[in-house]
Amino acid sequence: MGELLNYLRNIAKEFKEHVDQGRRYIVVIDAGKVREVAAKIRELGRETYLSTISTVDLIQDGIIQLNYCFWSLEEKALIVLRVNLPRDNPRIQTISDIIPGACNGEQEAYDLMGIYFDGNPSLRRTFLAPEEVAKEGVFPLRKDYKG
Amino acid sequence: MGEKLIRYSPWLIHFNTGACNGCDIEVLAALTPFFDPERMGVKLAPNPRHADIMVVTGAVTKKAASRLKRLYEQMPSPKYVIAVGACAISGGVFAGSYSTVSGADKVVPVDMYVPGCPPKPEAILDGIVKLLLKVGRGG
Amino acid sequence: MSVIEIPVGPQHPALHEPIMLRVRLDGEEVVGVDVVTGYNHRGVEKLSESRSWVRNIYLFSRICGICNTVHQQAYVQGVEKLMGVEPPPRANYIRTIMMELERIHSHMIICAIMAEVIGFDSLFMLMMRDREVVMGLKELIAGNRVHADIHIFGGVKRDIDDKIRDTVLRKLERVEERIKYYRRVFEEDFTIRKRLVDAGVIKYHEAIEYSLVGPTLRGSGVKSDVRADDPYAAYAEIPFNVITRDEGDSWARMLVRLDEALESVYMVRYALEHLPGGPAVPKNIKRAAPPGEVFSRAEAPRGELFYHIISKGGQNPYRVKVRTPSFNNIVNGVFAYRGARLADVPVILTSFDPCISCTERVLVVDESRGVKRYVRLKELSRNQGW
Repeated sequence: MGELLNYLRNIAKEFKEHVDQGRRYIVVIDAGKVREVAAKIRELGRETYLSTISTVDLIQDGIIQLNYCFWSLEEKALIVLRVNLPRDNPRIQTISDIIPGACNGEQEAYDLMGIYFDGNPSLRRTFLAPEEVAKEGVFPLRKDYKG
Repeated sequence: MGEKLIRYSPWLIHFNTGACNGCDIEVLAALTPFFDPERMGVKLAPNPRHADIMVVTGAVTKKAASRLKRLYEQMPSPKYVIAVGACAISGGVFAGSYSTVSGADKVVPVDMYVPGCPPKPEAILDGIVKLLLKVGRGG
Repeated sequence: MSVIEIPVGPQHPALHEPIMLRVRLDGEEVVGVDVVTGYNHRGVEKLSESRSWVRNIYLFSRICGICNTVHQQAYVQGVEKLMGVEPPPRANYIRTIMMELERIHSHMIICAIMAEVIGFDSLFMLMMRDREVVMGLKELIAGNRVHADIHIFGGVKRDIDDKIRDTVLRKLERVEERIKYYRRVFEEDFTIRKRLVDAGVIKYHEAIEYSLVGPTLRGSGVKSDVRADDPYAAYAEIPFNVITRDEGDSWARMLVRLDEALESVYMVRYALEHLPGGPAVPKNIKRAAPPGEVFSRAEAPRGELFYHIISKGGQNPYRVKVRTPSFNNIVNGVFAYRGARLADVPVILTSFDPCISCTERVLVVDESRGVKRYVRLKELSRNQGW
């Protein structure tokens, strides 16, 4: 196991390994640590790219789950950084200045799920959602939205 | 009046209103040498202002709907619209989404429907020919 | 110095998805590009939550008509993992054959469009003609030219018999010969080299930092291919080369695609010749999945396709997140235009294989005079008329 995975294992609140299809690591961290971890991934994983940011609205638990999915070319493994945000105020610091590839994922997560990324200047509604939906101030991918 | 104006060489404009590209590549295939529509005088217009027939594909997303309307208004009369594919007819698999208006005829008047997911290039050409017959050419 | 802003798109007479680029210019030089998206947003992820697992197969394949089988593959293989279903080897081979045929026609269509964008119309027409052979093969196997819809949980819906196999093998010879010819054209033709070489150079580490995927990433020398790194379907058993090039420009990206198409021809041939026996079509289909989550990846013609599927049990998925390759390449790839000339914009955009289209009609805004004019992108790329 490489340096990057060792680092993540130490910093994680929870570290799970899935072998559903290929290698998948799920690393649960605190929302406050996301920039620190992103910078470390940039430093240790020169061949690691951010594949996507996946969001899940877990309405029963009152949280919105944010999954930063990294693909590591050295490890040939998918590393999922998981952050749980409170559903009533989902805010987190942006990582798009550290990893430019995060920009589109953050824009999408803001427009469709309503997660606010502090420090990302390009957030805007109607990135994908139609104007009527944006005007109402609702987020279509949340479970309580009935389109 | 209309039949006289498009009797010789009807020019098409194609607008994708949020399709999966399936219909679009079939429209494109229908316009390339294998199917050769130019033998019927049909070709792609460079600009809506030159076009006689608009080929609409896709489920008509709300964002694209206003564009579709504007594009239709830019075409000179007489003008005709062909809805190609299940999505342009009724929304297809995307019917009921928060982001689509489901059907080109909700935005512009449609003269001919070509069903299929996607319709074959032959079917698209057939739709164009049927439209021409409908408006009087050769009929 | 006044900056001119040019919106490119979103509607247009030729093909594919509507998106809009807002190009800011200083003289002839591009100083920035913004992407305006959402014209094609159909709310698929939300729709999928209210539809059954089986109906969703057809919904997801209709995200993209060009890469439909690979969308089905990514979704179906993920759900199969949740359900604990293993497709038989023969079904995996047939799926792989369909996906590779799709890659061939997808790469041919984008190379044809590139030829059209740079004004090489005869090459465009010829490539479209030869692409029809591949479409015919898709129809022969799956029954439909575009949407194959061949995947089902636990296998495929149609088997390949010996007659189909022999026809496909015979027709592939012609496809192989033509692709080799087009590869030579793209490599040697003076006009093509003049337009594509050094247009939109992306360096090795930039490509990784900006999360570019697929041939765009491999054109910058990064050896990344889901088929090789994270094998699915029958890719672990079929030998193939991961094509990379070091130049990082539009020309390299197109050559990567042509080489890959050739590689796909060999893969289809190998798969047909080594088709395992046994059943391919499942007798009955599972319709419910137990709770769980799965991250499913597949290599679409445009790059890595990502599905995150969450089940809470029952008939419907709880949440499906889909990330298509073009979403990364178009939205994050805007840095590649900086410093390019205006006429290079369509070339660079096409080299990302963005499911473009829409981009042929252009609105020119001269901010200093407040003049708006419509110009065709083709005229723009040929440096005339605006």
